[in-house]
Amino acid sequence: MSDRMELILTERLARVEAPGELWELVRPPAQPEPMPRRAWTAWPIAAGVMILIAVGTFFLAAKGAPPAPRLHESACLSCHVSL
Amino acid sequence: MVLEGSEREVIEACQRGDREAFRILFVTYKDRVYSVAFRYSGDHAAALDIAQETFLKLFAVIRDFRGDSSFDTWIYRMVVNCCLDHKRRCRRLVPFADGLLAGLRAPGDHLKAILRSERDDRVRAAIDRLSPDLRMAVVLRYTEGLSYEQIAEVLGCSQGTVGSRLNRAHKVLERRLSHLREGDGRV
Repeated sequence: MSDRMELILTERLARVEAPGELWELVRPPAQPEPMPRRAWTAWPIAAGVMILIAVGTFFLAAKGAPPAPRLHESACLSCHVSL
Repeated sequence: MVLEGSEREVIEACQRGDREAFRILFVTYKDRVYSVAFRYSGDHAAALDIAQETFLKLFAVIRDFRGDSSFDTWIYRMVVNCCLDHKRRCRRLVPFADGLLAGLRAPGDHLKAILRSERDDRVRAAIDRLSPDLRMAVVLRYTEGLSYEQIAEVLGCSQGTVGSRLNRAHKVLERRLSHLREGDGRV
């Protein structure tokens, strides 16, 4: 290996600068932000409120409904309505 | 342990997932990784792919680095593997088209630049035609200035094998570049 060839290889194979866009290609993704504590407590509260509303609605509907007519009363009404 | 204090701290921070430490490590090694990739592949797009793959792999497995060997060796080994994998995946047809397009784009009054580029291309073409093993030894020797011992550690072979590969590469390059005159080497 001649000195000239050593020189050629050293010059032509010199280190090059990496393009700036490389960092954009390899940048590690940001860690996801931890969810605030408020958000964690809001879910059980919302669920509880929904259950209370559902139970309350069912209770009021059941309390306010007229009693169902008995069978023989219905039969008399349907047979003798024209009398 | 071969790590210096500050570098060890940066690596430990990376192992904890510190993004700033990743950036510092990237800035420290980006030119070395990209240079090996570029001098081996001879193509900027391929070098960018290889460098990207190397850093993504590095950040993914840095927790596995225990400091038993030099971090330089570890990262060189990684980029060498990425180069060889990349070469296996795609056979490169781009340089010919690149050279053609560069010639078409060059203005007529830039004759010197074209001549220099032509001489660069000859050297590059001679290196490109070396087998992957010889080419990688040449790149690690002349781009990174590694010793035979370091090259042997990176490539996982003996120093004798490194010497033999470099000797064969030198002979081939001497023959292929014999037409370059004395002044041509330093344009």
